[in-house]
Amino acid sequence: MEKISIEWVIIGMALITYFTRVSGFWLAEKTGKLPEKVENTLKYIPGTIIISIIAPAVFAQGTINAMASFACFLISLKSDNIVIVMVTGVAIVALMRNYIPL
Amino acid sequence: MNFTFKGIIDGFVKALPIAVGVASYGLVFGVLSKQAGLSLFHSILMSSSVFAGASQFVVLEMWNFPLPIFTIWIATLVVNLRHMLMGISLRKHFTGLSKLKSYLSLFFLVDENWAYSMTEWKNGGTNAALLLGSGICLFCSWVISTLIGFIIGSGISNPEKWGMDFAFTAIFIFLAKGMWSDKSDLFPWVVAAGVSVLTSKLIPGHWYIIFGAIAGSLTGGILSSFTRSKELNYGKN
Repeated sequence: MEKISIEWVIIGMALITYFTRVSGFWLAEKTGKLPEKVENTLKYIPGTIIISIIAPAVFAQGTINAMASFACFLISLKSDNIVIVMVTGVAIVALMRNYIPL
Repeated sequence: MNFTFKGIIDGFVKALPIAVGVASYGLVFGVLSKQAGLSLFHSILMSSSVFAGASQFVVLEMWNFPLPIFTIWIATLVVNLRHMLMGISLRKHFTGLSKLKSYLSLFFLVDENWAYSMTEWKNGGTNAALLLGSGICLFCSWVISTLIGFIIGSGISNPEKWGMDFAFTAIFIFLAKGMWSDKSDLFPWVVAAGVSVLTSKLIPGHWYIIFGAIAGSLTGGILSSFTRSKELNYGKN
């Protein structure tokens, strides 16, 4: 591998990533409004993506994560401050990982 | 929807807490990229042109010479496929925006600022520039922390000990609250969670986000067509 082509490997990665960022939007814009059944399905994408991102970290990575997640959930219901939720979650996880052998 | 400079600034400022979480991972990426043998230039080039953390970490694992170029590119595609679903969801918020504004904003699309912007818009926000502003904030954080991590070089490669990996989980739990509409979300979300956990156990890579989201959305779509036809029948009676 010539050193000069490393840039191209990275630029290739960048183009592929940008393609994933624009293609869904491009397609959706091109097709415009879809049949109601499809629109009713698409409407659930945002929420279910967020749930799918966190579910393995919440439910499948041990007791500490599960307990901290539950704490974050409870705080989220009470507070509209993302910093409080984040700091509390991280602090709980850090303390438990360092001081509680679970 | 409108698209104003104030919206960009607003998005930038609101994303600062999230940028802290991003920076902790940027530091680690900087450290690991140096250990993997990237030059400072290549490390910064990757963070500033790809700007997608998960795929960058995956590629570092493969960074042995001769570089497996196609494996690297395919891995990048697979890990980042979820952006397509996010892009679809942006359509109705970017209606009427110029091509330049839309496609510039899309360069800065990552999980965190997408989720943040969607939540804001769902709860009454009308500035389409939020995604761009928050994206620029996270971009700066990601690139600068890559640089710092590369220069420091070691000693910060274990953010898990300090719970930093949980920062994103906490952020998304908070944002999920803002995504909740009504109890019709419950079953799709349960299905999404179940499928994503199962997929993460069974299939290596990052398929769990896509599989979970598709399964959950289909569930929602099917259920809403049932409730709708029920309403129609009720109307007839």
